[in-house]
Amino acid sequence: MQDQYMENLLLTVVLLPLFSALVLIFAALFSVRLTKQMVAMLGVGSIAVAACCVFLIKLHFSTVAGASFSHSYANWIEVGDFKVAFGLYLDALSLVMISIITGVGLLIHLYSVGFMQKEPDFQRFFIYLNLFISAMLVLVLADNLLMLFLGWEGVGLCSYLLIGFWHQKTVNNLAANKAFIMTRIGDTGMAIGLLLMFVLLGSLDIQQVQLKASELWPLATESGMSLDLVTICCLLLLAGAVGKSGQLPLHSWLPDAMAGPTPVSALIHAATMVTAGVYLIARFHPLFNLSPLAMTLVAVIGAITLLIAATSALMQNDIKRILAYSTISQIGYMFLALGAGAYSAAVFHLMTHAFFKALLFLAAGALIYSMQHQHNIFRMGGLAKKLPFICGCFLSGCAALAALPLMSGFFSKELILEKLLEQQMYVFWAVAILGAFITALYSFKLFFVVFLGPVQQQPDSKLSSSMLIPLGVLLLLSIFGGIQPQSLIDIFASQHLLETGSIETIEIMMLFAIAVPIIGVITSWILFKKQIFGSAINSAKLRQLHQFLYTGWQVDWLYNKLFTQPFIKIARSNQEDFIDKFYLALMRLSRACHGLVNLLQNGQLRWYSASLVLAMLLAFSLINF
Amino acid sequence: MTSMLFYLAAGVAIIAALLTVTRHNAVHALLYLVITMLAISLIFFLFGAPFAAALQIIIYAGAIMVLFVFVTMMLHQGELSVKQESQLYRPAQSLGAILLSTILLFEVIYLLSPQAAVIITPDTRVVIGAKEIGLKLYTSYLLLVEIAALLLLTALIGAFHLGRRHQENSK
Amino acid sequence: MISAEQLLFFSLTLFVIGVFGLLVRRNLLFMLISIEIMLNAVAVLFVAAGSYHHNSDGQIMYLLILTLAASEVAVGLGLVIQMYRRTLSLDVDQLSKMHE
Repeated sequence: MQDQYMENLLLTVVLLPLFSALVLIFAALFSVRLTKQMVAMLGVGSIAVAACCVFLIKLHFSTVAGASFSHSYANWIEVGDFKVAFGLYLDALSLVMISIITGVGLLIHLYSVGFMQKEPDFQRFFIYLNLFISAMLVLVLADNLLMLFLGWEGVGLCSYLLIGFWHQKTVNNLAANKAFIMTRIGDTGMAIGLLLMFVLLGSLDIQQVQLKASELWPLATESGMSLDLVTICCLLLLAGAVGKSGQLPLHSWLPDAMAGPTPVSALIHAATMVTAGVYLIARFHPLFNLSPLAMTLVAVIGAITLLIAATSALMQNDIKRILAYSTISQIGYMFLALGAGAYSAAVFHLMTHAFFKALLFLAAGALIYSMQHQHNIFRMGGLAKKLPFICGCFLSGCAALAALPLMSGFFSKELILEKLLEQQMYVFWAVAILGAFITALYSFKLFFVVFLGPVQQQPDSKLSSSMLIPLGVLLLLSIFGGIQPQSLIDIFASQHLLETGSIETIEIMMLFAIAVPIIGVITSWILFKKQIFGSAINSAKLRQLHQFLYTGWQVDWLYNKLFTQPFIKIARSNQEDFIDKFYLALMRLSRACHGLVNLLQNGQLRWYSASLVLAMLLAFSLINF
Repeated sequence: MTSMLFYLAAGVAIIAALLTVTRHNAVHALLYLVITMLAISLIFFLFGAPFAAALQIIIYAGAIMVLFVFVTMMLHQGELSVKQESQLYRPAQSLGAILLSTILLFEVIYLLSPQAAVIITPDTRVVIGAKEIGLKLYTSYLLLVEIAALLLLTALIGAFHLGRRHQENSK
Repeated sequence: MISAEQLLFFSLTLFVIGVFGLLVRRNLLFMLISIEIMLNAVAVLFVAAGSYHHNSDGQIMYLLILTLAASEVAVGLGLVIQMYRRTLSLDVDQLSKMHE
């Protein structure tokens, strides 16, 4: 009876957003005209109900002692012994995820109603958004690999559609294509990984896969840095995660993805979809635990990404690009934590990041909205008095981002740093500290320039209450959201821990870690006062450096040279398909032969009679001699 | 006597045939052709085939030639046609054709000479008349007669169709 | 008296004259006439062969050739008339439209 209740709730959560998306699609198909209010009611209402269901699930889940809950609703594919079910799986990890998705999703939906009010394609926007929510829920609740992949591709598709939402502009379409193609690279790796796991382990069920994996491949001991099968599986999964989460080799799509509407950037490219990679690795953590090499690689990717993205963020002047790079950088922190085996810390940071980054994006959206689509931070300034509420939002968002003490981001980031120390990964710790310093620097540079700088442009539009309420809720969440769910710690408790370093050194180092962001903020303030930000650069070398960082370490240029150009060259050289040459030659030959024979078919009767006689001559001479 | 007649007839036939194919005037050519037919008819007589000889005169020299002459008269425009024909056929340019046909002649004679030498001289006094032919024709060769009838019918229809005037103007 | 060799020679000569005419003339009417000569040459051979063997089959064959010649002439002359109507000439070289 109790299970029945749970099953229905879970199914409702997944299907409601899909249902409302379908209703909106069919309304559009049969050209039923819906007013914007109706669309908003349907779009936001479905998410609201889903969020309520999640809340009920949460209550119920905490009372029932079971660590996980799974149920298969229907058979999807059934061929011989091969079975794939529509099954949902719920544990503490997916509970956190669905809470973020529906909770933050609801707030962003509500915000979108105000933000997109003037948009003629209001309905299409909500179709995509609802579709995205349902795909994301399928992704995190899937109990088998195929369902997970379905959700994974679903969110990719919605991301593509939403980045290119304003498809009248070519730039947006290019950005959408870029996002789609770059994530596709990772997805291909992941699909191969999923198939490999199915072939090796003979099951698609996520839990069974992990059980079988730990039976089949015992934990590699000292010589653990070898490239065995489990490592290959992990690396292929990592490829998918890296693509989706915008980590190092495949991160360059995320800044361009800011071409989409701001609520989309907040929902998909900051709070939920890009953290799917983190979720994936956390979900497969027993598998990753078996492969030290893959774990190290995850940490290395996280560390490098975090530094590159943070330094790039420092030089941007488009407000959304700053936030995009900071998202990449924060996900780098999560990867670092995952690599250190601190899964709960990673998911915790994922959660707080969802809060404060959604807040920052929505506030930035409000800012852009009221500044007539001005994106450049140096064109804004002195907005503290004009827009006090937005200013407050930004202040708390930036503080959480910079991990100033007692903000939500502080707890999660300090937890990551602490775990790094516990694992004696001092180099990574140093990188993380450096990253934290730069993060504080750029986040407060953003805040100072926009709100305390010289007055440049007057804000005009009034913000509607549907935009202000989500901001308020997120403001509270990003300040007070730093409470780590206990259940998370429980489910990752089985992880192995090395012996910790001495307590005193850790404490000293932690104090240092707490101090660093504050130093960063102070540095930022000094630089701001000296008016370094936004001033012209005199030295040529410095200008080069600025340009290098501004273009995100020239990754696009590099990829263009490394992959695109050679590919185009190869394609060009094979433009006249060399296999075709053979057939062309064949064609020419037969045409030449045809020409020869055609000489005989000249339509001259006398030629025909002459050739007849000639043939007669030849035939007789053959008989004769 | 018979051989003399044969040589005479053969000579006449060959010369007349040569003249036939080299004339510019179609009416002249046809008259030479009739002479060839008559000479061949004489040769048939010499071989003891009076029925064939009669048919040669009646049908070939008579009916078929009449058809030719009819058409020629229809299309012939006197001097103009002769002039046109002299444009189309110049004896000086017939070297290739002469060469080809001569080679053909020698080749075929060379090919057939061994067989020809074996065959004995025929007895020309034995006459195969209409009665024998008729008896055989309507008994063992009945199918052939029917096929010939069919052929003639086909030719009739074909000739009728081809000879019709164009209907394009009336349509 | 009349040797087979002579007869064969006569027949072949007549046939080759027909071939020559066919090759050398461009007038459709003359080509038909040449074909008649060739048919006659073959007819002579048939009749002669029949009388060598004291057999009436040769003449029956001749009858068939006669029928064939009559049909051929009927159709051929029909074509001649049709061609003259269309091209106002009997030059077969002008009938090369099938080439294109």
